Amino acid sequence: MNLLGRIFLTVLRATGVIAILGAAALVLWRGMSLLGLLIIGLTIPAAWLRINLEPMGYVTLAPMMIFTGLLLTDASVPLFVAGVSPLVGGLVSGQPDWIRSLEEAGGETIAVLAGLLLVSEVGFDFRAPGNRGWVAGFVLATVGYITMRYLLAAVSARVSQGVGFLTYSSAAGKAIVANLALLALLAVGMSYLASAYGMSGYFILALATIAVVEAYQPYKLLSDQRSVLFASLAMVAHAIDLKDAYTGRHARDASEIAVRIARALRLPEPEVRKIKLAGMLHDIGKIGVSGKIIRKPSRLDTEEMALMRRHPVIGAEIMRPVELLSDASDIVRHHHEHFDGSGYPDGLRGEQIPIGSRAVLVADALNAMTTDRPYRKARSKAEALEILKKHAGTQFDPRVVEALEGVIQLVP
Amino acid sequence: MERLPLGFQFYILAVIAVASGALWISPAAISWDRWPEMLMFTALITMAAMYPIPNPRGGYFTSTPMLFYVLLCVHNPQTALLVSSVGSSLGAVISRGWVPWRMIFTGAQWGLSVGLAAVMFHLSAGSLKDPGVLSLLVPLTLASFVMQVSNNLFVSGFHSWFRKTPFWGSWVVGVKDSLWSNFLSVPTAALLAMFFVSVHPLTLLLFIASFPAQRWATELYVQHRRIFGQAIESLVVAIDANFPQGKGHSRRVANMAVATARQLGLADSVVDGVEIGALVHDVGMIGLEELVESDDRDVAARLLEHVRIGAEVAGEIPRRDVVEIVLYHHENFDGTGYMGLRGSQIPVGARIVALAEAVESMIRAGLSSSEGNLDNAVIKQIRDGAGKLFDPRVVDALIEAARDDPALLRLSSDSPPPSARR
Repeated sequence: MNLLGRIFLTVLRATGVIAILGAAALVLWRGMSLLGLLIIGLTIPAAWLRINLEPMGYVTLAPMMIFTGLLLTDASVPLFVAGVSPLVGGLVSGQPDWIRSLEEAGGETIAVLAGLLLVSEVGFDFRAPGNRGWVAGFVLATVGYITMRYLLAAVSARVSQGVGFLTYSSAAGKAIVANLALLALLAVGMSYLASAYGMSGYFILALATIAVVEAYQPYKLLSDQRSVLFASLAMVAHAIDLKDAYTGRHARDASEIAVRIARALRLPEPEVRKIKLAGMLHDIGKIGVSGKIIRKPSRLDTEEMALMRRHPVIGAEIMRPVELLSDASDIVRHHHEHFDGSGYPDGLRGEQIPIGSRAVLVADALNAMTTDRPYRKARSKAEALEILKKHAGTQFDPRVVEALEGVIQLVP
Repeated sequence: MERLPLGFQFYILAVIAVASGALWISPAAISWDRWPEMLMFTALITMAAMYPIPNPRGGYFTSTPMLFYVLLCVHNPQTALLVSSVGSSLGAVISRGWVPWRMIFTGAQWGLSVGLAAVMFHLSAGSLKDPGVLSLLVPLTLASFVMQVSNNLFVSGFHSWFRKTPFWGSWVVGVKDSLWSNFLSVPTAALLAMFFVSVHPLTLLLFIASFPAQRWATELYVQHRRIFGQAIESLVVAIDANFPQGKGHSRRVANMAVATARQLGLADSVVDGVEIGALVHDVGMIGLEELVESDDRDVAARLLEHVRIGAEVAGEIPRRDVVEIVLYHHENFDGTGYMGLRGSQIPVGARIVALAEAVESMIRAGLSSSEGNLDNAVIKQIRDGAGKLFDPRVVDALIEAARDDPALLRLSSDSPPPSARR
C-alpha cells in the first residue's frame, strides 16, 4: 500500500474515533429527545442487516435512520447514528472488526457532514416539511451524502484492493448508490408517517423500520450464501492440496494473488471473478492423480509424468458441467501453458493462452516459492519476484509479472 | 396411492373433523358481508403458500404467517379459520400437486392454528382502535406464539409417522427453530393491519411487491445449495479415492449418523450438520494413504494429526458444528480418546459419527467371517462399548434406527441419502 493510501485510511480511522467520542459527548451535553432516542434505538436492527458487496463495500440500513434523523430532528441524531452504527452492526452480528468499524464510522460521518454543509451553503431548511425549498433541501443533503459515501468507498477499494474507479462504479458502486437513494425515499415515507400520527406515529416508525429490515432479509441471505459457496469451494481445494506436501492456505492465497494481478491488469470484473475461482480450483484435477506420484521426491518417469500432466485437463473436465464453474474451466485447463509454447497440455503460446491462465500460473508459482516445502525453506517475496522476472518471456507473461511487481506489497 | 397406516388416517380425519366442527357450530359468525376482503386474503395466502422461502438454518418456511397475522387482526376467529384454510389448501395443491387428503389436512391444520391464534389475540384485548405496544404488538406476538405452537403440534404429529421422529422432541424443536423468524414478521404484519383499517384494505396488496424478490431469492438459494452439495460430493469422492476403507465409507457413515440423529429427535439444522460432518469426517486422511499401509512407529501420531488437519480443511466453511465433528470423531465417551474429552464435553454430532464409523468398520470387518448373524454381533459389540467408547443414548438410538431400517447395517446400502429430499 502506498503512502497516500495509508494517509487516507489513517484519516478515516481518526475521523471515526472523533465521531464516536463526539457522539458520546453530544448525548452527555445536550441530552436527546424521545424521538432521537427512538431513531438511535432503531439503528440496532437497521445496522444488524449488513450485506457485503463484491469486490468491496457494504450496504446496511443505517443510512435510513440517518435520513430519517435529518428530516425529523436536529443534526446531532444523524451524526450520532453515523458514528455509532458501524460499531453497533459489528457487535450485533457477533463478529466485530474494530478497525474496519472505525473506518466506516469515519466515512459515514464525513458523508453526513458533506450533506449538511451542502444544504447550509444553499440555505434551504428541510427540517420543516411544507416550507418552501423543503424537497430541494432534502434532495441536496441526500445527494451530498451519497456522493461522499460513494467517493470514499471507491477510494477505499482503490487503496486497499487495487480496484479501478470505473470497475468499482460498474460493480459495487452502482449497488451502493441505488440502495442509498432507495433508503432516502423510504426515510421520507417514514418521516411522513411519524409526524402525521403524533405519538402513535412513533409506534408506526418503529414498525416500519423492522418491516424494511424484514424486506431486506432475502438479500442478506443471498450474500451469506455466496460466501458459503465460495468457502465450500475453498474447502475442496484445500482438501486436494493435502495430497501434496501440506501447504495450508495455498488455494486461497493463490486465488487472492491472481485476483490482485487481474485487478492490476485492469481486467473487467466478470473476468476477475472467473480468475478468482480458477485460482482457487486450479489443482482440483489432482484428485485423479495418485498422491504417491504427486509427492514423489525423485524424478518422475515418462508414464508418471504423463499422468501428472493430465491434471489441468481433468480439472477443466470436472468444472465444465458445473454451472457456476464452467466459465472458469478454460483458465484451469491452460494454467500450465508457458509463454513460449513449451507448456502443457496444448502447447499454446503468448496471447493464445487465456489471460486468466497466465495470471494463475504466476500466482501459483509465487505462492509455491514463498511457502515452506519439505525440501526447502520459503523464499522472500523479493527473491521470488527476481526468479519470476528471470523467466518472464519464456515461462511467464512479462506483462503479468510486471503487474505483479506493482502490487507485490498487497499480496499474501 | 400408497396405503396409509390406519392410525395415521385417524389422525388426519380427526384434525379435519375438529376444523370443520369449529366452523359448523358458528356459521353465523362468518362475516360474509365483507366477502371482497375475504377473497383478497384467500388469493394472497394462496400465492404466498406457493413460494416457500428457504430458512438458512435448514428447511423452508413461507411468508403466509404474515398474512395470517393481518387476517386475525382484522377479522373474527371463525372467518380467519375459513379464509386461512381455503388459502393454504389451494397453495398446497398448486405447489405440491393434487393429493386430496394432504390438501384438506393442510387446510384444516392451518385453519385451526390461525383460528386459535385469533382467539388468543381477542382474549388478550388486541385491537386496532388505538394501536400501541400493549394494545396491538403484545397481543399479536402472543397470537403468533399460539399459531406457531399449534402449527408445529400438527406438523410434528404428521412427521412422527413418516420420519419416526419422537413426537414431543420434534414439536419443541420445531417451535424453537422458527420462533424468531415468525416474531420478526409481527411488526410488519401490525403495520399492514393498521394500514388495512385506517387507510384502505387494498393497501394489503403492498405485500405482493415482495413476491418477485422472494422468488428470486428462492431460486438462487436452491442453486447455491445444489452447488454446495456438489462440492461436498466431490470432496467425498476425493476422500474415498485416497482412503483404504474405500468407496462408500463416508456415505454409509453419513446415512447411519443421520438416521441416528433423527432418532434422537435433533433439529433439522443439527441433522444437516451431522450429515455434512459425517461425509467429510476423514478429509484429513487425504495424503496419508501410504502411511496407513506402512507400519511406521509414529503412525499413531500422524493419525492424530489427521483430525487436526481435517478440522482445518473443514474450517474453510463457517460451520462450527461440522468442524467439531471432524475434530472430535475419535473421542471416547469415557475420556480415553485422542484429545481426552469425555461425556457431554464431546459435541453430540461427534458422538454420533464416532459410533456410526465404528459400526461401519465392524460391518466391513465382519462381512468376510460371519454372514449369518452380523446384526446381533454388531449390536452386542456396541452395547458392550456403551458408556466406555460410546454414548449410551446414541447407542440406543442407533439400534432403534437400525430396527426400523435394517438396510442401514448392510454394506450394500446404496439407498439414496436421507437428505435427498432437499
